[in-house]
Amino acid sequence: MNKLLFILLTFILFTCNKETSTIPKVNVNLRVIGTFNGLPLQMYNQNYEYADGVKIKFQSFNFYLSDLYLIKGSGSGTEKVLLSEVVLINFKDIQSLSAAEKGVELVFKNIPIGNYTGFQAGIGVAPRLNATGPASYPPPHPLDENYWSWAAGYVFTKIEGNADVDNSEKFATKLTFHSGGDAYYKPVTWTKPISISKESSDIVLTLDVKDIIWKDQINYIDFRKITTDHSVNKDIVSFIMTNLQQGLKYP
Amino acid sequence: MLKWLLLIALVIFSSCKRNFFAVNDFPPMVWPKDNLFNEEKVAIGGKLFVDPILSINSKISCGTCHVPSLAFTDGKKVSEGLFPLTRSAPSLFNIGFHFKGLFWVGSASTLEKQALITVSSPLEMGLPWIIAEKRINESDVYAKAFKKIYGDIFIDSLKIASVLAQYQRTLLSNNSKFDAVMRGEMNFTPKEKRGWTIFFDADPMLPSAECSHCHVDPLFTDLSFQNNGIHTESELNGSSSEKGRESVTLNPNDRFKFKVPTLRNIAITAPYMHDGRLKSLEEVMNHYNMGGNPGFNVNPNVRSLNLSKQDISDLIAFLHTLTDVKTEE
Repeated sequence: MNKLLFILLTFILFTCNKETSTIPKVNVNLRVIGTFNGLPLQMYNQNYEYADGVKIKFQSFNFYLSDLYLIKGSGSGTEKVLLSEVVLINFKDIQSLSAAEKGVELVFKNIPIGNYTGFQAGIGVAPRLNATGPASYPPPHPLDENYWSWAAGYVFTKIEGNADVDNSEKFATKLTFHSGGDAYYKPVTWTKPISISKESSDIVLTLDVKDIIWKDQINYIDFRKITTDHSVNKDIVSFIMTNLQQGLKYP
Repeated sequence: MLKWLLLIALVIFSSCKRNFFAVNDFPPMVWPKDNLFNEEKVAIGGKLFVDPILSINSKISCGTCHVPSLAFTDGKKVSEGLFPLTRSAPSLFNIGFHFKGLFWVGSASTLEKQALITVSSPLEMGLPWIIAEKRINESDVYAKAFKKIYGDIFIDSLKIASVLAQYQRTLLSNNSKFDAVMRGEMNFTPKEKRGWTIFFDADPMLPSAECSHCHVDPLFTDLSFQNNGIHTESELNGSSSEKGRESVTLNPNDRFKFKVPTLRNIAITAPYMHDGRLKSLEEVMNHYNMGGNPGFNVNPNVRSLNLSKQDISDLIAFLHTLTDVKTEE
């Protein structure tokens, strides 16, 4: 079946509108810059003030984006250019100030230049991809990790680190929050002119991780009471995923 | 015309056997483009693997430390090549799937490079490659076998390493009771099932052992490098000559991180941990149940678990279902 699809796609490729092939193409860089309460987001090397006098450190933070498109036009004339089916925005190697300022960088090749009207991405792993598993992907691939076999799905976002809840500077409280599930997947569209040209091909997203776990003085994950969740506590998963969707910005 | 030729080529390509070692639910094994599967190479590699011809004293082979009946480990705390080493011999089962680095600290990126390092390592097999090449080229058996593949040319170190790598990529563990259960051919006992559930944190009504964050099935490793809190905090902050993954990356945040080992055949590969410091699965369980030693980069999933004796016993019962090496009774 896959072979037939492959051949069919090849035919379509051969017979498609030739006008598009004349548009110059460039590599588009997607950068995601992380902060925590405005401070550059670094793994291991930085303590961050958290709610209620707690301090935290990160060891790992990642999340998936699916179906990334540049959008052109509007209404019935909307066109979409696929950047990628799925990417993992992984901060594990962001361990210095200079790396934090640069952010996580991904390159999408051969994207037609032009004036686009927006950018779209699903926060998490799209349900059709979430129904697959690492066996479907020759490594390295974004979906070759973060898989829950027993739940038949991917961890959409992983937040791991340590908290100092007693002001001892020992950071002995271990934090692991793994969130996922089709119900929490959500496409987000940022409407904003984007000019992709030979001179300008960067898309920069920002995310303050504080907004994910510490929304305000009342709504935050109390690390004195909850230190782990693997998508069992629906309130926690919903809190994290909703805040992630709202917190990822295209300024 | 060119398009039609390309199309025909694509049809032929797509109808070829794409992945010789396609295993149910396993990720596809990626073979290096310059060392694609070749049955004859595998055969020579298998012969060389157990032949001491590649050690300086002609007494040590790859199989000395990677014994097939012990799931390609050696049952020792740390391995002994020409001299005692500082780390244990990891299992080689499913090693062909390990694309994020080999050895305990990821110091070789491919099996080919791993073979090149091990043969000439002064502590392990200690044979300079120039001598190894001479021995192989002068060996009637190997010269003839290599000639069949490569023709009448000099057999260099890369060719020797390539056959060793080929052989190791054929070492598969995918026929344990666990696999049979996953295929629907067998059932777990209630005890094994409970252990499976605790292992995978699959039921909020049962305790979570947090194992599967790193020991992801079907390989039972996520191939990452982690500090599991096995070293004490004073070792972590001291001047130990063992640095773990830091010795490769030079990143102090990688201190005492080691590759997450596979748990396949874990019941027959004692002692445990990179330096064999834990003698039994019970000791391993106690280590994790206590939450490991503290440390700034200890994986946060290594935390106090409050598992009961029954929970631990059930977990170990589940781990026994990962065995598919037949051992002598």
